[in-house]
Amino acid sequence: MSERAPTQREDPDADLVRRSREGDTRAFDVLVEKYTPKLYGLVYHMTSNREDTHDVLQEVFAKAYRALTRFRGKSTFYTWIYSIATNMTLNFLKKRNRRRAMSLDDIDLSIENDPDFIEATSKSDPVREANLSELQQRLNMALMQLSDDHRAVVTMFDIQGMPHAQISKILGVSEGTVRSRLFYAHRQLQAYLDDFVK
Amino acid sequence: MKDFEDVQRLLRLKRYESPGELYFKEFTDSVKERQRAELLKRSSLSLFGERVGMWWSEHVDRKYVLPAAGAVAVAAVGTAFLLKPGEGANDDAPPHPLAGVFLEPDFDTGGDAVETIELSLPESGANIPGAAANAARTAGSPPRPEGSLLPTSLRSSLREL
Repeated sequence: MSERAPTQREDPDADLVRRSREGDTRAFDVLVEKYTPKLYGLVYHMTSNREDTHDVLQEVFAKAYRALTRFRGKSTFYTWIYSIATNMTLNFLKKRNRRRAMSLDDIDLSIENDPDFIEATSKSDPVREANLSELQQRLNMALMQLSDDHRAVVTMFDIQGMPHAQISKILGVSEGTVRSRLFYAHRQLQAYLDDFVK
Repeated sequence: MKDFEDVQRLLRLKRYESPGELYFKEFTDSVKERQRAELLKRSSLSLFGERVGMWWSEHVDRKYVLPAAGAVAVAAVGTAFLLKPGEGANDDAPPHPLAGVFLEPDFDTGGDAVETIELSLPESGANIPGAAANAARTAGSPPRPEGSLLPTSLRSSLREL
């Protein structure tokens, strides 16, 4: 059964995409501003390196602009550009030196008001006693232990809150595969962060 | 899954890792700049191609293009054929350094043997024009060293120089 293309109502960016394809650079600027934070998060959490994230994201938007004429509207623009970013990041990680050092962003101090943070510090002494920087280091190191494919599903589901259906569409795999990758990744992470989650 | 709830709770905290709003502003500006630069490059290249195409169509009559190209190709092949080295050449011997520089004289000796002409200086006392005047000038001067061609008086002048 062929997939129904999203209507104007389903894709809120349809008009901006149409104008961009007609040569309106300001319309594409709006799309860049709108999706940079989300795409930055995707690439950053998969690479744990700010500089690599900057470089990859530049290429993502350059490629997306060049490929706009080939965008058929079978998915929303966001899903389409998110797929481009995911594939380019996975390809980048394959070529990157596995020993590349982490280069982490700062943590927004409003984290201390987050319910998850409060819950984590109340339930776990190690989390409570660790400073934010140490917690950040341990989390990122644990994530980097996962394979690129497992890290991708964890980034999309746990960190960016994406539903299974959307993840399966972006990665081109079944929802069952998404769920099983998530299960395996969570089990691995629990082992790596054993002293933090007990 | 309750089993992994604690892990997932920690993972969600990664949302607070951020480069900041200023970074996003600067990043989007840099994307726009790069996009404009690419568009400019693309348009200048296409403009150049358009100009070349216009000049070509204005200055070159299409009905002569193919025959002219064919003539050039034939000339190139012919030249390459003519400049090919001759058969039977001795490829083993090294070429003479001056090979190709001089041409063999192309004259006919008529089959006669070459005659050798010997040159010699006249004997002393022979009637040589100017010899007497020279003798008077050099009288009393030291004998000319062997092999010297200059009169003594002139040699002195030159020595002063």
